[in-house]
Formats: sequence, structure tokens, C-alpha cells
Amino acid sequence: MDTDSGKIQVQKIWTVVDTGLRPADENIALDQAILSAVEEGLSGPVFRFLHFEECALLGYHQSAAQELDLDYCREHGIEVQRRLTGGGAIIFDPSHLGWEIVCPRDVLPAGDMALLSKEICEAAARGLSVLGIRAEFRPRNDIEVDGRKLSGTGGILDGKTLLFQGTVLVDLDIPRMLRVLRVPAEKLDAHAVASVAERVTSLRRLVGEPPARQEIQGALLQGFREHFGWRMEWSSTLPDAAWNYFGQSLETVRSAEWLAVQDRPREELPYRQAALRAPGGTLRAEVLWDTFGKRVKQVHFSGDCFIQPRRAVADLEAALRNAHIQEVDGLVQAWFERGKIDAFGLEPGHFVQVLQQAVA
Amino acid sequence: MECNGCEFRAELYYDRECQIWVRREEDATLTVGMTDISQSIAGKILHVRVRRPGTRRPVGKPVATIESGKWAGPVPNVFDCIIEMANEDVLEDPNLLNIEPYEAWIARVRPADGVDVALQDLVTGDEAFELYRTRCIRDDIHCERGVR
Repeated sequence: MDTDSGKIQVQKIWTVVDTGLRPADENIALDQAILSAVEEGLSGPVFRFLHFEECALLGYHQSAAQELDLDYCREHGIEVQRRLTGGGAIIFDPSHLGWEIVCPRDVLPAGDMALLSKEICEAAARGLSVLGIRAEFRPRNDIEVDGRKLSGTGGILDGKTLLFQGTVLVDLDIPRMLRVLRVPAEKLDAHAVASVAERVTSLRRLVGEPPARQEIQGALLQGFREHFGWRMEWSSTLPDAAWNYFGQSLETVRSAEWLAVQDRPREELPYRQAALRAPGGTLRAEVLWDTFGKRVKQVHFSGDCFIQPRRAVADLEAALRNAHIQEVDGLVQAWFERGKIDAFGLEPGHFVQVLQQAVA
Repeated sequence: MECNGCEFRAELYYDRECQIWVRREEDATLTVGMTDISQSIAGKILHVRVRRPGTRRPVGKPVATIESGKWAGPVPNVFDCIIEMANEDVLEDPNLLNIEPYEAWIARVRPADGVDVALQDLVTGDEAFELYRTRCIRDDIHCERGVR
């Protein structure tokens, strides 16, 4: 180690650390603290495992009023926090495992942000596959097994330093998730639970009794080692430099200003739905519609129609996430052509039409 | 002027990494936007947040943040300034930054120490193009514009 000028010479060895079960504000403050330490050259790259007390985490640019049932969170003691990273709102409970990397940008392959996401997610998917499942990267930032999401991810690139993090759904309480997060469903009934279960999975669902925490962590590390060739060593604690930033970061994320970074009203993100009778059956679209940006925030398609391959609908929904209404036609066409879809009478135009009816 | 399909406008000012462009306005303010290089690296931009008008942003504290493909990140700030206004069109439709990066400005700011001091650390004209070209080649950046 070279401490010339008080800075550590860029280390090639990653510090791997598990910071234990913590409330959301401490975990988010640690994200900021590690990012600052790495950015200032005071710490080498860090791979951290995270565990949260039950909480709801917003993406950096999201509005709590739009994305969460805040009354329910209050009544049930579910902490609400804002991540540094982009992406959508998630719930976290002690059964879930979080992982993250914090490093200089140039530690990873050159390329744009999409390539960066792909590289990191492929490393994580490779690791999760060690557990005997077929985990794969699904653009733009998910890791899935047979078309169902097992891990969501998001990142922040702050100058020349990045933090990229993901979840592993070891177990998942879907009814609880539906009470906390807004999803495109009219009622939180068995149909809504089944609808989410078609799109999301967990290690418990995939392999029965989930592997021990250490086994999952070991598998993830193996994936990153093999994919990037990194040298990684466990440490019992974070680098001192990160702890030095922790107090100040905690103060920031505990302030009311932090949660109000984005505070658009719920009325600007209404639930909309429509149904269309088409040759292949009835097609229904349920949408969370961003009236401010004219975007499809989330859409679920359902109905008595039959579409092959089975994962095709989930792929279309992922492609349409955050799409501007003017882009919908092109995205649906591209999905049909790329995925070799057999929709038994349903044409791309039917999907576009039902979605446009819903948001009209 | 261009390099690897990345448009460059010689009349604007740039930071030395060519991440942002800056335009001098007649009322002693500066307009800030993202370069073609930055929008191409970011990919499709879904969110833009600009600090409230009247907020002071010292060097290193971003004027705005953006999000693309679940990546959040600051729009770098290289001079001490006060936010005057955000471009409402871009707030409503952030994808404009991908479609027309030099028309779709992000924020108008008032430099705390005056325009001339703020522009001292920026580059323009041939000197800027040389840095722009070097960055495109060094990082193998090829620009693509967003379409709708």
C-alpha cells in the first residue's frame, strides 16, 4: 500500500464485506460514504453485501407519493428511503440479499452505460447460476430465470466512480409487496398476486429450501471473479475512509429534503385499463400512466389469448417500461420481429391499440 | 464539425472532458447542456432533475441529475453558480437530450463570480475540438442520436 499524499495507490484487490442487518437509512448512507471514499482515492474497490430491515426503497428520481402506499408503510413501520441509484421502487426485507460494487469507472470494460449494465449483470447471473438455476441477463437491467425476474439492479455514475447494486429475491411475500408498491392492477386480489407471480420469482420458488446466505454470497463472488478476473478478499469491515464519511452521509439521507428530492403528486401517475376483442381472444392492458411525461410507466397485458413463447409477454412489458407513447408502436413491432412471436391471431397492432385505448 | 459521428459546435464552451457545453447569453447568464458524447454514452435519458431556481451550486455540486437505463448520475458542474431556470421542455421529455443535445439545453445559470471568470476554466473553438476529438478516439465513442 502506498500512502503517498494520503491517498492509497489504486488497489487491484477488491475488499469484500458484509455490513450486516441495518435500517435503510444506514445502508443508503454507507452507499454514499463508500462512493465518496473510492471517489477521493482513499479506498480501493469494494464489493458489499447488504441486508435491510423491512423497508421500501425508491429509485433516485422517483416520487414516494407516486410509487408507494405511504399510509400502509407508516402503519406497518416500513421505513421509506431513497436510493442513490436509478430504477424503480422495491421492497426489501431481511430475507432478501443485496449486493453492490463500488469502483473507479475504468476498472470495468469501456463502453456506454448499457454495455456496463450488461457486463455487471452477466457476472451476477453467472454467479447465481452456480446455485443450479439458469439465471440470465434481461435488458435493460434485470436478471431473470425462465422469463421471471429474480434480481433487479441499478447504478450511479458519479464522475469517474460508479456504484452498481442489485437484489437477490431469496424469498418473496407478494401480497406484502403489492400493499407497499404500486403495480398496474385495479385490486390487490388473487388475480393480482398471480399476475405478479408470473413475472417475478425467488430462490425459494426455484429450488425449494433456499441455499444458506454464505452459499449465495460465495456463488455471486465466483461469478464476478470468473467474469472479470478480479482478485477479491473478504474483510471484517469497510475501509476506514468510508466510515469517516458515514456520519455526514447519514445526516443527509435522514433529512426531509432527501426524501423530497422528487415529489410529483400521485394524480400524475393514474392507473388505466382497457380491453380489446381481437381474433386471438380478449387482450387487456393495465397501465400506470405518466401523464406528465406521456410515458408508460408500467404495463401488464393479460386476457384469454395465447402467446408463445411463454416469456414473450414479460419481454414486451420490460421493453415498454418508461416508453414514451410515441415509441410504443416501434417497440411492439421490434418485439414481434425479434422474438419470433406466435400470438395465434393477435397482431402487433392489437397491443398498440389496447394500450392507446387505456391511456386515451 | 464531428468525430466518430459525434457533433461538435465550435462556438460553444466545454469542460475539458467534453461532458457539458456552455453558451454565453446576453444577460450575463450561461446556458448548460450535455454534449453529443455524453448523451450517447448515457443512452436513452428518462429523468432529468434540475435544482430549484435560486439554489447555489459550487464547483463539483451538480446543477442537474439525469437517469438512463437505471443509471443515475450528475451533470458535472465546473463553476460556482446560481440556478436561474430549468428547461421545462426537457423536464417533461428528457429524451430530447438524446434527439437534439445542442438545442435541448438543461439549465440557465448565473455564475457567482461573473461570466468571464466562469469561462476561464472552459475551452472553446479549435482547442475544444482537439480535446473532443481526443476523447472520442481514446474512449472509442461513436455517437448515435435518439429518434422517436
